[in-house]
Amino acid sequence: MLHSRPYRETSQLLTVFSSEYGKLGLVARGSRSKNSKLRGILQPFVPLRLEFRAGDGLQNLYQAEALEMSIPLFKERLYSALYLNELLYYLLDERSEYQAVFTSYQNTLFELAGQGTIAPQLRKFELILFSELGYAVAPPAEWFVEKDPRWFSYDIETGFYPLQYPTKTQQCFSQQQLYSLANFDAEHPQELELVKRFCRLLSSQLLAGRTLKSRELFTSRKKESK
Amino acid sequence: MLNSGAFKLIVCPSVVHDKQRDKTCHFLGLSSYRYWYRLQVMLDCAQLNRLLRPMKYSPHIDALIEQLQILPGVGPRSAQRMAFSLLQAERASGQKLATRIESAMTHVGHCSVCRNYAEGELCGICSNPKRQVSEQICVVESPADVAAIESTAQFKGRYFVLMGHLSPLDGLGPKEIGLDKLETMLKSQAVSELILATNPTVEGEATAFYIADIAKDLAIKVSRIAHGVPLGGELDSVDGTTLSHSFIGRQSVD
Repeated sequence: MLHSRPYRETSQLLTVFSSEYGKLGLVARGSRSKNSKLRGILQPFVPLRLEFRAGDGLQNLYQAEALEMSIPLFKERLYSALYLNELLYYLLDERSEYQAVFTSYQNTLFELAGQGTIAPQLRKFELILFSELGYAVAPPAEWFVEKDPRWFSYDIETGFYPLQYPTKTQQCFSQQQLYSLANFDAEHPQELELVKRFCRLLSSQLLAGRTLKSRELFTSRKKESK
Repeated sequence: MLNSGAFKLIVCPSVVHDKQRDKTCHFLGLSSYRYWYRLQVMLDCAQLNRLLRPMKYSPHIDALIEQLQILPGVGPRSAQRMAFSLLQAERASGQKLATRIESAMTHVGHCSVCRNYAEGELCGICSNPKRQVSEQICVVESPADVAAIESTAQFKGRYFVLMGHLSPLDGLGPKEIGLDKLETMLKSQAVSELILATNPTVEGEATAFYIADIAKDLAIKVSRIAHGVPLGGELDSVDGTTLSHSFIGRQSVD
């Protein structure tokens, strides 16, 4: 489940992300009532098996069953997971299948619940998400051979395009940087930073001016600790 | 209908004209993607109601019925009952109700310290000198939570009411729930313990972690209320997540 909001007295409107149907909206009737068993399990980050009528648009949820306990996420890991949800919520189209994104989402959540560092997982997920959404995250190979345009930028409509001169650093990537983007190594902190910059650029274009609130959770804490 | 302001509705034309279906038409209207290319309109609740239920009575009565439906648990049917009962028998009380609502809406603000509802600078709890001595602060999500904790008579400290929880997808970040205010409060006052009584939901947990982080930087003791099995309940009827929480948070018996 990605998101829920209260509906009427005791019901909820859910936005769920499923392996078979992608992102879809469901109505959970009575799930907020006092005796509802659904209250505990209709939470984000609980692997669920849901039963609903197949059809267009918003459907009634018939049955929900937790497959496992909720994935234990704490602090930054929880914020990161909320960030994933926010990305999926805004970027995915309703009712189209995103099998690869789903698998990656699941894996990333499990990784986040583990001990490893967070950033590489997020970057890997972002790259998979963007490529599954149909945006070329890898530049064409022949660009590495050509000597002439040494600077590139990215636009969601056209993909990578060459620049005459290096411009604002946030949107400009050198040939060398493009190469590392294409052969991204999660262990390398500099490359991570690069991919982060690239993903930022892409997501800001995709979200068209909407800011992601979950990012605030990180940034405002960092500022304070400084 | 939904409480959230404007949202995108895709209304199927055949349903709009179908007056027979009373409540279900919201859903059908929402769910009919088949005609989305023909008729895609932005409607808020009132507009939808107007669209689905053309004027029945005089404009004033209709407006009253429509407005009564903003209350939780009040649908078109009970709103109509309320409106008629006010008009028939309770005219004087109705007038009184109107003035009461108006004065409450203009006079009730938020307490400058704890963000609870208050009719002045401070709410009843914050202005209570006995409470001010206490160095415990309990963080809750809503004024209803304050009332619930007050009714237990367990807690003698002060509160901080967030008026929500961190929920990025609803556009609620740390600032929106007043965490900057809480931080300045923690910095400026002597606080011995911060009790986090946010709801046991994912968003509530995220909020609790976030506040715990702030308090940790300021070296303030933080505790989280326990989650577990309700008193008088039976273990087999408790859902798995709750039960696992109560296992994790078990206490040794001396």
